[in-house]
Amino acid sequence: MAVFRSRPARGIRFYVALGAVLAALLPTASASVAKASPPGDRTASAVCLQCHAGSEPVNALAATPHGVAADPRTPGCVNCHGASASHAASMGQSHPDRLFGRASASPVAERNAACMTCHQGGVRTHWAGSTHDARQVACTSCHRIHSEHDPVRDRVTQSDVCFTCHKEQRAQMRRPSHHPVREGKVACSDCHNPHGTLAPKMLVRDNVNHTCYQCHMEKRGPFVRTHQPVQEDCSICHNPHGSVNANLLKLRSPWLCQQCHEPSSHRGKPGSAGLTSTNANALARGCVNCHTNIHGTNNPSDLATERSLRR
Amino acid sequence: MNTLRYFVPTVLAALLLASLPASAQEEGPLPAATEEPGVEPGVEPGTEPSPPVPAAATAATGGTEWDDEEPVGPHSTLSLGVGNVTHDNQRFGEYTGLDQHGSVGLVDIDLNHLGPTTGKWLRVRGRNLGLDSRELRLDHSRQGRWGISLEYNRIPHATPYDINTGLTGIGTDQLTTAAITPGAGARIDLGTDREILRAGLNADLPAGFDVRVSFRNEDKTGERMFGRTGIDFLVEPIDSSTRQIEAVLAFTGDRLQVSGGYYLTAFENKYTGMVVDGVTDGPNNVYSPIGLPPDNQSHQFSLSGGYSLTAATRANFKLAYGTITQDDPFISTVTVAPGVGNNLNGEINTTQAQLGLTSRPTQKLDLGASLRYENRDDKTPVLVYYTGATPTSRSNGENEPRDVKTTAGKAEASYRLPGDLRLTGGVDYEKIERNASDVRSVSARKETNETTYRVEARRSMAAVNGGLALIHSARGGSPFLVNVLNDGSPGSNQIAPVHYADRKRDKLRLTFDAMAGEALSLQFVTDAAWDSYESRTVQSLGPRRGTWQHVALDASLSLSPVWQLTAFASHDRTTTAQNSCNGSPSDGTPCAPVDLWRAELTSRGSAVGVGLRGKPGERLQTGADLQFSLDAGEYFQDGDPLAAPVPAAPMPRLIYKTRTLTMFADYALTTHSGIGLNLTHERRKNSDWSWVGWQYADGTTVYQDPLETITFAGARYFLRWP
Repeated sequence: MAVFRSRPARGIRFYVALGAVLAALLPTASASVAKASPPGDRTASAVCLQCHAGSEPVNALAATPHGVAADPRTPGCVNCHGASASHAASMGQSHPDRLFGRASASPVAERNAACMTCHQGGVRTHWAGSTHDARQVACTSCHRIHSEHDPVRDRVTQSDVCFTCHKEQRAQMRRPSHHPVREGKVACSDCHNPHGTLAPKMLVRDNVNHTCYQCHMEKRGPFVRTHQPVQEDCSICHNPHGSVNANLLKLRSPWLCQQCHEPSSHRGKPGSAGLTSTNANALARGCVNCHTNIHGTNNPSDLATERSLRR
Repeated sequence: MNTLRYFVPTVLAALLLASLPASAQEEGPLPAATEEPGVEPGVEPGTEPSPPVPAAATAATGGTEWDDEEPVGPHSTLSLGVGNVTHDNQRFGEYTGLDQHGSVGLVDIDLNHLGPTTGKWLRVRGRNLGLDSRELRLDHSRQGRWGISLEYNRIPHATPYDINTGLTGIGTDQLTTAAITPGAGARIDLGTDREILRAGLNADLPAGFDVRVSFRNEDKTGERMFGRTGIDFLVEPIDSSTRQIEAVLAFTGDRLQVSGGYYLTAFENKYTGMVVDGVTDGPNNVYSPIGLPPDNQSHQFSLSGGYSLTAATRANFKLAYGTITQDDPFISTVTVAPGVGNNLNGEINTTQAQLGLTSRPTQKLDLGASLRYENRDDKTPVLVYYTGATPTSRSNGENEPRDVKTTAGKAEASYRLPGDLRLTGGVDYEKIERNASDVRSVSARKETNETTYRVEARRSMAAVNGGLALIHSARGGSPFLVNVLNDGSPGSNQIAPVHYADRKRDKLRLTFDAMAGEALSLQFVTDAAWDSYESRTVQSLGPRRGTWQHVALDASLSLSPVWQLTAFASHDRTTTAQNSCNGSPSDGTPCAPVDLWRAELTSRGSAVGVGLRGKPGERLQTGADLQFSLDAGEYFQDGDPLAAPVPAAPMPRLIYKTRTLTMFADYALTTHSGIGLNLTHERRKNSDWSWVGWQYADGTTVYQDPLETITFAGARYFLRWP
């Protein structure tokens, strides 16, 4: 019996390319033993190093963008933690002016303002007024500053950070039909900008459909024959975070389709697993067994069946 | 090809290993050429700033403080190993390329270099390089100046079914069906591969400007399940490309940040349509050829930004205009109506305007408001594509371009009361306007509007946080249009579609988290929502109500300085209730009571998990996670005892159960090397009846494995430096 494998083996092309890239980069990479300069070497922060130099939280900064002494914008300790005169004078008996941990007494807005001093603009332009801003989410609720590895900036570990608050989405991602977020191939930030956008749900594009089209552009059309909810909002039928139904559908057909379609003719039949094809509206692909071009078709045939998205 | 799959990584690994000792063991100062300020290769001497190590700082630390435990630059790692999957599977490796049994190479790299005197970063990150889900990214930048990136990413997707069919021509747009005895055809595995190439460039320009350009190309190949009236099993050939280019010029000032952008997208499909011939083609040749997604493209220009009016008040905005066009040539072999050209000449123009204002007039009060307007104007020409519409047709034969205009507003105030209690109240409003064709088969409403009220109380203290949010929304709109047939007589007018129907929604969210000392933290979240829909008729057909509940509890416990325990449990339940009519008349006559039936559709999910992490020795890190999940679909129906072929009756539950155990251990052999072991044991069981007993007209059958038990074990050798 013949076995058809649909996915072509493309490994050789990739490894050749990989080899070329690595060959070009290895001499440079080997220079990574370079010792970075101590972080925060700004005059006002020098006093901090009298006690904190060599400690792990400070040393870790050397491996982060906040430890790049060659960048004149790189902050010193006091840029983030405040001048902290009493902290220094008391030899650490009192807290610095501004701390960022969970137990910090500093208002979230004040903590975030310290970050936004440098990080205003770009993808954070619309932070003010965003849902996360309005809900008093601190930058450090998601980001690790004194760490070489910031999990939220790694697409494999990012979702764990988001799931700290978004438990519902964590549960949905476990469903049999899901985007490969758990597998590290899709990240929450592929669709959402947690720093705020003017789009609904902090989507990276201007609306739901334009966000989905980034990867599903074949659904965009415009088509000769359109399906209204497809054109308006993908999330009318799909739950992008996961579903027990195939293709991330909110419900199985026929019940999903019956939420909109008039019940005349076969459209009003109860769900059935009858094994003759015309009655098995809940088996296999359900209504889509026949209405196979459910997102729209560009077939211009002068036929009635085209309008019902069957060809 | 399998030989190459393992041989090439091995050669690469050898090359890397050969080159590594120098870098992994070297801890001395940099060679003079790179240590010399501003003389990094490729940089003109004198053009770089000297390494800013202020004398004051050096003096303050005595110049020796860092010597005891000097900070080093970013670390690099290289991991090489081999893993084994015990069985072919449908779900375990659906997206990872681990869907077949056998050995795979485990290759990961994470190379990082920071030029201490120049602020230049070089990062190379490769993951799963021995798998089909491989990805490799290169970033090179000079911090604060410029950066470039290049990324390759492959996302495999194996269709989680085994298919037995007589269909031939799979992978092409010329299919031939062939009748077979069920099970006597060829077994095929379907799937797709997305190969994504990204490139990016950013540069800081003088006077606060910067420019960012990104390019993304995705080639998608493979096949996916398809079908047609009959009911025939078909396979859609996929060979398409998606391209996106975005260029942004931005200005960042103390008060004003603004960016202008251009965003281009293009979709290209190798196939316009699919021709189907064969044994079942006789009565069904009206369903060939079948249209496939057409090429289309878009352009968008945007201006976006924010302006700090005062230290406490900020405005932001966005203006955008975009157009989507689709003029892909039609399938050339079909008969078209008079006046229909060779392409759709489709065009959709979208205008957007958004404005937001936030203010913190006092330390305790936050205010925010925003307005959003989006007009999707479908300019696609309206033509008669079907000339055979009869007087009782539910269409006049014309195509139906879709306009959607959205206007939304939002206002919110938040006040901080004594005792770290914060009260928030807000109002949201959204109006959606749509067009509708004169003759329709689905109920339409030209306008819906929804108003939402929110109140929330939250208390945030050092060790305890809690919040309660209540949300109420009401959706209404313009009167439903009367569905008419092609001759103007009334059609069926019984369903208020789920996204049009009048709806009242109430939501509740309760959160609580606490830290009991340094050792224990707890987090509790519960959400619930209740929807109630209005119907178009006294028989209450269509969506009626929906409910949703979700509860989650997470805990983290430090057992000792060495061991940490985490645990979670969650449960959610979503229910939709709706009514329908079996064989309702199409002329608007009410449904006969005996034909009424109802359905209550429920989705349940439960999951529990426990994890352990520890570092029992200086050299050993280990951990394990055990998780169970159960997801179920429930399909209750009753009523209409005369419904054919069977009365409306409950259908069996559909259940997916997953049990996953993962374990890892990393042992450091030296300061810069070690070995790692990974084990994943997963058992997936389902009672999904979607394909059980089903067969297509040509005898094609689809099999979903009700039980798969997979073990993946891997061993790695890793290097870490400096």
